[in-house]
Amino acid sequence: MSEPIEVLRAENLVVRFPVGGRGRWIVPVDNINLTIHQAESVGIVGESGSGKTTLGRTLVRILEPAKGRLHWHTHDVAHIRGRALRHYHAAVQMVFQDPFASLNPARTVFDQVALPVRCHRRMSGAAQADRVESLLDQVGLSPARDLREKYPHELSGGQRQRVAIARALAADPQIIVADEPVSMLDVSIRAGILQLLTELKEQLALSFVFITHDLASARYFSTRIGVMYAGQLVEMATAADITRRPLHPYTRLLMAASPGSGMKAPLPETTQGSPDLSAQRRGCPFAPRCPLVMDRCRQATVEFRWLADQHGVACLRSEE
Amino acid sequence: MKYVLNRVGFLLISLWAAATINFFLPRMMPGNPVDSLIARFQGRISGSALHAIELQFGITHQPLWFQYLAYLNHLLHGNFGVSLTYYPASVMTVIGNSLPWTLGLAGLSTVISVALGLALGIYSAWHRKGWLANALPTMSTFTAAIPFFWLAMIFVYLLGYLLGWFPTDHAYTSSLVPGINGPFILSVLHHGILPACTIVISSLGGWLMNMRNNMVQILGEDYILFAQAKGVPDRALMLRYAARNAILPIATSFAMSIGFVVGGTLLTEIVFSYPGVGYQLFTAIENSDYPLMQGLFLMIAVSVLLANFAVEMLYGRLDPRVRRSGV
Amino acid sequence: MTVITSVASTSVDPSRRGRTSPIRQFFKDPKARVGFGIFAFFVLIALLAPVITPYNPQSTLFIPLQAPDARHWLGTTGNGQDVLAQFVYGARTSLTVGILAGLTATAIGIVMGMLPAYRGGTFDLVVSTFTNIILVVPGLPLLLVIGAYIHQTGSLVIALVIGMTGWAWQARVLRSQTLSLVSRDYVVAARLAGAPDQHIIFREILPNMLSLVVAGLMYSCLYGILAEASLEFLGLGNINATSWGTMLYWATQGAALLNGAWWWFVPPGLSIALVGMGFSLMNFAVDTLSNPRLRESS
Ligand SMILES: Nc1ncnc2c1ncn2[C@@H]1O[C@H](COP(=O)(O)OP(=O)(O)O)[C@@H](O)[C@H]1O
Ligand SMILES: [Mg+2]
Repeated sequence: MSEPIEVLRAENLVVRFPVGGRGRWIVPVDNINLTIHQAESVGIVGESGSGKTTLGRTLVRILEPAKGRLHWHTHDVAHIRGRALRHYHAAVQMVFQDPFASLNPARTVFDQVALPVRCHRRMSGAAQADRVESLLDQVGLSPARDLREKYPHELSGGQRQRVAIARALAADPQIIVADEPVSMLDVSIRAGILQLLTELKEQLALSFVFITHDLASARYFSTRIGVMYAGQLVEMATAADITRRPLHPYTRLLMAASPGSGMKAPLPETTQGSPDLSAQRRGCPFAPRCPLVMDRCRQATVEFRWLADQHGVACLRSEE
Repeated sequence: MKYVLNRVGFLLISLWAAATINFFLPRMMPGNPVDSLIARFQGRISGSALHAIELQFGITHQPLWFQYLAYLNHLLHGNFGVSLTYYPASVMTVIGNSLPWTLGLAGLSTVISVALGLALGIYSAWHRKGWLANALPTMSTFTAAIPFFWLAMIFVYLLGYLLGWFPTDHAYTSSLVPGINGPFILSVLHHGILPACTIVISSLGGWLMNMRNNMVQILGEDYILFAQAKGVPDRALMLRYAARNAILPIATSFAMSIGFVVGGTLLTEIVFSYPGVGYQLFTAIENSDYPLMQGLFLMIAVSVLLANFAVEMLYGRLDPRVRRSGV
Repeated sequence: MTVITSVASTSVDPSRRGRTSPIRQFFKDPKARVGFGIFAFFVLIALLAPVITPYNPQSTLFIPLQAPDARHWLGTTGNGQDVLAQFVYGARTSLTVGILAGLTATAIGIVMGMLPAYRGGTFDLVVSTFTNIILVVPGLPLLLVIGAYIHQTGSLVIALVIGMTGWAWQARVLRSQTLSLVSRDYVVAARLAGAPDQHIIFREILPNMLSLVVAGLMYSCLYGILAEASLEFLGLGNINATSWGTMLYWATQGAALLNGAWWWFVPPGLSIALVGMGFSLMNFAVDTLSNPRLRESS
């Protein structure tokens, strides 16, 4: 196996938001390291409120990180603006979670898919129209002619998400961040969209960051998987490894929760609401819910450590 | 507290802005209009007064910033210059004589119109099936669009000239001695009724429609339905739950409404020759009495800013959310 | 006048937006039909002025102060002009100036409201404070003072000046709506698509608040017509132009009230109120369109 080419690398990435004034912050992305290689698909898994969307939006630089670096090939794009940012957006696109919100209700399908074709690829006239048509074709919206002039409210949820995917492809990107692309869709059409994304991944040599709250679909779609909890990356491994040998208690919890997993639920949830993202918290963020919690977990800062070539975890138990 | 500071800050900035607009207006106009004025009054007023006007309107070789600072300094000392129409009376004197009439007329009319408008708005939102409740909003769109001055003219014509019920100009019978005495007060009231009616009728519609819209909005909220289900009596529901919350957003549009009412009052005064600031402003404009005109404008603006500030303070009291969030 | 206080409530859930076109939906509302009917009626009068009357509105050929009769449906003025001729030709000026002022105010309101909301930061703070100041500085006295300085100017200038003093409310409404739209996913998507700022503001955001803009335009036109009439009535406009406002100016100058010449001053004032009502009703209907709760009630 030849050395994979690195495309995007986040180093100690931190994103925070002010809450309720008085200098209080939440940190939905807390010191995250993540590398994305050419034509690979990285899954990001975690429950709702763990900061997945925030991470995804920062990778495509809709948000600006407070700390850390974001290397695009050899450039640091963490704080670029204006023309440079526009340039970056041509290479890194996003598919949003809610296809009802991500398409402009006042503009036609054609308008929305043509926009990146025009702005990023500088095509106009017949070339632009042809490109839009072939994109719609590519995402399985054919005959494209019937759909071009439709408005989002005239489409089904699945069709909308296909339009959104076509729009992301239109810029001819190297990476697509797909933020829970099927979670808002009817169960019956999810498979179709996932199938489409898989095909695109294989055909186009694209890299994907596939965000989901469900480990099963991450395993189906990704070569490597990162597990997030409360803004931190708690485990990272190949899809096969994480299934065979989950190391973090939270990962095991997710395994147990995901349908079709052979595992019995060994770790009952000792739940207490959503993860604590506040900047003041100490120790392992999972400690309050962890069935294997030790005293040390509540105070010590837990470092993310690589145990094997491709398998890393942030858990004090793993050091024993 | 943050809210109060915020509003005080805005008041100060807007006072400064009004003064600055007042300073730059004549200087921005094509061909300095004051030149011809000076020529006209040469010899009729004293040399020093003339010189003061030259300074006031920028006919001087002093740099602009110097003029501006001198102007602000004069304002802070209540020095608005002399009126040409009423020479040698100062602008401040003329304002002092006319402002009380306008404050009385506009203040009283606004209170009546707000009270009546809100009450009718509540009525119209509550009894949505009744014919009157349904006709009121549509009628309001008409009354709100009537020009103040035209309604004043109609009143003068119908109730003044044709029927002779009310006097058609001035604020009191000129043979009476102003003071706290029966005949004078009666005369003032008699003279004030038509102008007040004009203002009330023309401004009522805005309050009514606003209140109705907000009420309708709020009556659909879950907490109202919930209170209804819990058996809160209708009257309490209407007044204590719905109306209270419906009034609050109106305060945010008060800023513009008060400007509108003041504009209308000025026009009404002009038609009735009512000796308030509007009538004086018009006289000043007709006589090209620019010092008086500028002084009156500034005074009107300041009054409106203060009225607005007072309402905002009241609003902060009524709605604790505002005070806390410091919007 | 209808002031739109409910800003937040006017954004429609896009998925719930009906299948019928907004225009058709607009005309389903009886208020909209009446309002538009009034407006269309006066526009027609203005357009057909030469067909309606054979007389020149300025010619002083006739016997002054005649009551309405078969020859002069609306009588004559104190200067011996035909009131009907003045009225129909005056409609042209009044409507044009009012609408032009409304358009100017709306255009300024869009720019001064949307740009700062989109840019954010200090720019937003400065511009929105400026807007709030203009909002509280009373408009009519300011107009009168400007009118006094630029005495006897053309109608176009009057329209522009009125527009320039009357944009602040709309800017404020559009600003807060823009603030709620800029963070929507579709706006973010347009940014990812590499669209320039002006495209995002005018092509992505603006179309989603058209109902607010139209409601504001209706309201601004009402303001424009009233402000123009007030200026003209005080003789601060162009007193030699024929408009509803100047008719009222000359009626006062010619002591129409004392002479009982109601036919001279009733038609123009009544028409101003009716046109204003038309705009107000349409404003109402557009507001209702975007605010489902109001819809249920009417
Ligand atoms: N723009 C924002 N401002 C303030 N808080 C935000 C913002 N975006 C997200 N958050 C908060 O960050 C946390 C993480 O959200 P998110 O990244 O959407 O998580 P996930 O996608 O895993 O559900 C949530 O508590 C959310 O409320
Ligand atoms: Mg999310």
